[in-house]
Amino acid sequence: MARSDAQTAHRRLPTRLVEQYPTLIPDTYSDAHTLLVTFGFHCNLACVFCMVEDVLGVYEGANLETFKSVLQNQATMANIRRVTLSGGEATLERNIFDYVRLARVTPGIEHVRVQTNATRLTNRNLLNDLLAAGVDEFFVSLHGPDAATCDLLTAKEGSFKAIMAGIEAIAKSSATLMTNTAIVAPNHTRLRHIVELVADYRPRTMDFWSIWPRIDQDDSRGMFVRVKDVQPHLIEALEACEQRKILPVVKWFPRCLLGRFAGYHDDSQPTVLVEQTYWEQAPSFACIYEGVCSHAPTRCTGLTFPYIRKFGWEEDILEPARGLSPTTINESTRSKQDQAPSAEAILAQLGLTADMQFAGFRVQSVRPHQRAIVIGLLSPEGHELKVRLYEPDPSRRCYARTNHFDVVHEALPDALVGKTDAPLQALVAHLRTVDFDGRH
Amino acid sequence: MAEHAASPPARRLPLVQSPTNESLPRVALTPYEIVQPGDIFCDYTLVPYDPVKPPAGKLRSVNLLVESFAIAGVEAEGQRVMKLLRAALGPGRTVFGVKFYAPEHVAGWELYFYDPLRERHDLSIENVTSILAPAFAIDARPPRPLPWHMFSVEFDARHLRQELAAAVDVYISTNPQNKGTDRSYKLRGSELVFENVYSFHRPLLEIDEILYRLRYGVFFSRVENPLSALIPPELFRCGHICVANKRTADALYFSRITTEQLLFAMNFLGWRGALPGFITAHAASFDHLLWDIGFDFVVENGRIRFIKGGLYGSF
Repeated sequence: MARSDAQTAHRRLPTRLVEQYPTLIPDTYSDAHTLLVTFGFHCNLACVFCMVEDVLGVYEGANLETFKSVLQNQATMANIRRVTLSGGEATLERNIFDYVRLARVTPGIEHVRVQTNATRLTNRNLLNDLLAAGVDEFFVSLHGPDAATCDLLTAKEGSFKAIMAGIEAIAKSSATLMTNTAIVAPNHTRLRHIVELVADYRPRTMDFWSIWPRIDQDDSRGMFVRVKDVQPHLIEALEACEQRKILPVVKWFPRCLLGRFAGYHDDSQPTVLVEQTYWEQAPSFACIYEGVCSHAPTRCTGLTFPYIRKFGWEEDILEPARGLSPTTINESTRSKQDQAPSAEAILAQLGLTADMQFAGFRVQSVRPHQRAIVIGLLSPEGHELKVRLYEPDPSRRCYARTNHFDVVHEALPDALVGKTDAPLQALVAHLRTVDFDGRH
Repeated sequence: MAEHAASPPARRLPLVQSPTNESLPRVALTPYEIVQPGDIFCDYTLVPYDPVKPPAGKLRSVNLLVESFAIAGVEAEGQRVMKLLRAALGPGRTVFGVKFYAPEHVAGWELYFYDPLRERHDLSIENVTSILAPAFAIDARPPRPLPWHMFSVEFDARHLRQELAAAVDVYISTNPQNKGTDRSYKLRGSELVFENVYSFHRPLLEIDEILYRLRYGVFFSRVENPLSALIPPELFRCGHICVANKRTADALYFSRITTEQLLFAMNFLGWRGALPGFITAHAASFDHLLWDIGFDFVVENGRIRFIKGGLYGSF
């Protein structure tokens, strides 16, 4: 996975969300399964917030040979079910069909997506050829609900008309339509209007991403907008999506400001094939509450450094989800920075006491281990059941989840096989009583 | 005598690639101090840390102090201070601070002596006064046993030239559960004058306390300036943030920052001149270290002004 502070360890939508909308959110949607390949790096628009502005016409991205070798690498492709073609405007590249075909014939690949501005997809031949080659999803950038806003942001007159025509063509095809909107100053009050404009074309998802200022970090173009100014309009857009049965996805916007829509927040990123120099200018992220918020930094990356430099930390606006987490417990129970956390203090944080029993299994030990807490439970016969508490990660296989812990047990000794459900359930029930912050 | 063409080549010592390119800008004449096996790296509270990159062959932080003496034109006098302390207390016992009172020049130094458990029989205000007497005079006579966990001596070139006697600052650490009650006093002669209250916080876990301390400061208002003007995101991830309320300013200290963060901080704080230039030029040779910095600030006409800064290491 390419390095960037913006990229998170987990790459799936929250399980809770999937469970909440089982018919709306296929589990194949998750970015945990996406490989994004960049190539070509040409574009027919000039979006003012473009993430690749400086490398258009410069980068080559992954050539076919590289792409093929990645596709053949079993370790890299483990769990990958989608290939997304990107770079600049991928449909400008004559060899896009070669990429599509390579992806489509790769075992395990279920979806081939093109990230596009759709302006060229009114060309029926091009669209049909892409579909025939194996593209089944188009992720269309649309940044305004009208020509004035859209053309201002793409820096090209007529772009709105062309994009909408492309969206219409996709909607009439067999492919799945998805849209993506960068939230910037000129459009932040019009997000709901974008939903209303696109809804009739029945997009499966609509993404709303806060600006990712890789190029204009000083915001000389005036694109940055304060999160508190975006918040009501973004909420409106999310409500509009729900009403129209469209799955919204919000990226790089503080999760804590989304209220009941927090489940639509997903800062995950796909595996990206791009020149490593690309990341040298990638903005870093931070949140003033990242040490005390259970959503940070795994679920919510926070604000970009350029944003913080311009508008501040937003410490009075952000609402950290305060709760337990293995990391905060481990850190807060150190008496000094370089000393190990104390077992007694960890027990206290978890509401446990030594010798406490769960279905006959006695708490024998507790200790920190990297970003986890390991609890040792001793069976009546003297066999140890080791239980680990991890930070929440929807992609982790675990015995149970509480608000802030993934509960995992280590491999069971033979003597304990078939005897651990009761103590584990009792322990989980206990953890749920102490691990409640009233927010979930 | 000319070597005979047929004679075997002379045995030579192997060439060692020095990380400290002699062509880099430097004023000091003293040879560089290179990290030695067994060196212990400490932050400005004299708590050890593991170097963040392999330290072999790289520079000790004390090179910064030596360079600052040289820039101020008192390299020999400064070296004398270091030698006296190392000889009397041993290596690794002294924290130093290089002070910037104006962005263009180094204005002074401060030496800090820690013994929170009071188990060092060689460490007392009286003994340090005696140790440093050949270098400069200290006029500080505790009127009674003082419950310090650390004391410091601040001096500048005038002291090193024996023109002035230095005072001592004593730092009183109270209940660790009751942050914000630690304080310092200036001891000159036998008179104690209150200087400041300060508290150390882990930025990730104790951000609420940091915000509280800053919210109720009188020299900074978030109405005029955002918090990021004092705590930029580039420095937020550090060891501790110390908030100090002084008589005529407030101050922030960031501990255990990397050399990369230090380079950012120097630019952020407007530190310019020979010493920042020295650090920048030698950054690769310092990249194993963690640094500590601090700055006093006031707000004038709605704008933050950094009126004093400090950069810390140990020897």
